[in-house]
Amino acid sequence: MNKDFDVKEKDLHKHIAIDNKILLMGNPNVGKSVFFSQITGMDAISSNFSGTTVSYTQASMDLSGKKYTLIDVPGVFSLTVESQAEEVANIFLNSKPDGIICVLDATNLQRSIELALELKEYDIPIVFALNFMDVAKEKGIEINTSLLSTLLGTSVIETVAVKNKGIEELKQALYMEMYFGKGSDSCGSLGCSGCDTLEAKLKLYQTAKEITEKVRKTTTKLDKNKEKISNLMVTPKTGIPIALVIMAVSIGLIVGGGKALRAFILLPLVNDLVVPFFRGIISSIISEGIIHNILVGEYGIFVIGFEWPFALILPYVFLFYIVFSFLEDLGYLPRLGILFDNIMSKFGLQGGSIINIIMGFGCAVPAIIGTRTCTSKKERLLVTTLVCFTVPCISQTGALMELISSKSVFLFIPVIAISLAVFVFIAMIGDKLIKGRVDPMIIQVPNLLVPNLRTYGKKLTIRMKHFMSEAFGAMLIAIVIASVFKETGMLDLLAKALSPVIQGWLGLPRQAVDGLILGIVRREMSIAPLVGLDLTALQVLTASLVSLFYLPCISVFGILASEFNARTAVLIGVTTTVFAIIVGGIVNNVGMLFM
Amino acid sequence: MPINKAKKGNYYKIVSVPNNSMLMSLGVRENDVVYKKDSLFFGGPTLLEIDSREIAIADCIASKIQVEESDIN
Repeated sequence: MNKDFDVKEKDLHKHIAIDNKILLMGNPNVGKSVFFSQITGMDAISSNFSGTTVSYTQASMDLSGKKYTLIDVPGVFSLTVESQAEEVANIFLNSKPDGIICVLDATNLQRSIELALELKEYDIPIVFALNFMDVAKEKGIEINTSLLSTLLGTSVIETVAVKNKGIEELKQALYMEMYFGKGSDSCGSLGCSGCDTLEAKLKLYQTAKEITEKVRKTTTKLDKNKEKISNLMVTPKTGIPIALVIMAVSIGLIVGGGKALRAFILLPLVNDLVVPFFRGIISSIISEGIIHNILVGEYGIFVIGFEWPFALILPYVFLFYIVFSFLEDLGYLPRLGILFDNIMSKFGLQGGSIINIIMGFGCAVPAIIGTRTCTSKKERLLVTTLVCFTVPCISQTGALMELISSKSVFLFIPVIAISLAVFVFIAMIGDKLIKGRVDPMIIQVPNLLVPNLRTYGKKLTIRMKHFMSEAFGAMLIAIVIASVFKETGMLDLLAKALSPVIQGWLGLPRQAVDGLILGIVRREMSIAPLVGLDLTALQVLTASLVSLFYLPCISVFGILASEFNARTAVLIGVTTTVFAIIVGGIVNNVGMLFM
Repeated sequence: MPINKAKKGNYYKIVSVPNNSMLMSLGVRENDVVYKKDSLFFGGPTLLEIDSREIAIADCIASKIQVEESDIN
């Protein structure tokens, strides 16, 4: 089995020492990660926007019987070191790779050729994959591939990576180039002599333009509908209603679908079949007592160990990723960023940040890793802070749905209103407190694509597998802690100690203590112990808000510490907790005056 | 004139661009011809088409890109 891993920059130097490396390179959003999956058979998440591969991924590949390591290098427009991605690309290029597969975008040929010419400067065997040929045809773009191949001095293979078209030919061409190639025909002969100076760069741009003009012919667009739809999505008059409809349909699918799955399939399955089955077996082996209760009691491992992960959380997570992955592959999210750029810029953010924030509604961990694409440290910190403070992950949302809708759906209104107000408040405070600047938005709008069923299905599988392996382990640990705490009486002691805060200031029942302790491990656990209790409307509102603003889970701490530092992790942990208790208390005490 | 104030649906030749490597990488360069698709209201971004790809540029940057009418129109 190939070893696949996403390595952090500090580990980079360990991995450049590997022999037999082949680099997979190209501009951002040309489909490198799809090539990576097709060539190696390994998992790499791909999306229809720039910067999905923010670190790099590697896996072994076979080239005519010989083993190589294929490295998915982050997408770059040029090799001038301006960002982390370009630095990583340069380090790999200088680490004596055996070959390069460079992916060219047929719909964005000039940008692609500019990078191609820069890469040719390195004396490394290289082949080019001309990807998105199907989309180019739809756009009325015709490319003379054999002429392009002659002008670039190496093989250019037409590909449609999502359909696995041209992948074998590409591998063959690379093999031929590596073993029988005449060596790199460096771009010096093509009009560029070194690309470090501005003059050299302008000359390279000119050469790329000339090549593009020679090989590309633009005819009438075959598919005008996609362009029309794309325009409607970013024009405010139509774009805002479209965004609202997409949001309403997405929420409807996730919430409605999640509730239906839970009520009609998963809950009966767990409560009527799975739990009684284990209860029966365990009761016949172990007599009543602490061990019996830890296993099948109120907080029993075999009771909530099935109910919480499978019946409470799984349906929402599954449906969220169905919707999110679809919008991601369609290329809708950057368009949403364009639409909201002016509003976001009022809060010190930029339109593109919306992608990471929406990702945070799934899970904060990929959202925080995704902030690596931010162009300034301030933007990274600001988006991370907002995600930690105000964006509930989908597991937590699932638990909140259950708690709130069991009392009254109208309670969603104050919860959403208060959390929106807090979002704006935190963004504004963060903008003032965090030093530096947020770069204004400059983005390439991705092509609008109908998601390819195979890559979409694969992505969904990767995400669900990841959720299962990450979340279920942590959830199980939390459940074991809960049942041990409960059965040994430790929970009661803690509840007594914390009662002035929990029962006094927040007006919540004793079980909320369980939630606050378990919430350290997993976010939804801060709510789960309250689901099914007979709470007042004010208690539901207070508990929802406390959970929403309460500290992020243990995985988020880990990622904060590794992406930033331990100090940031502790600071976010302490401020979120204090903030949650203050806001919850204010809502409870003000609410008491009216209720 | 700045591109954010230029009429949409026309081709423009770029006269000057602020020093920004991202603009340069995406093909917003002096003397090149771009097609202006739109500028969103309330200070929203400007959408340009360059080399058959669409680019969105925040208003504060777009206001610093000077253009003139192109012969293509």
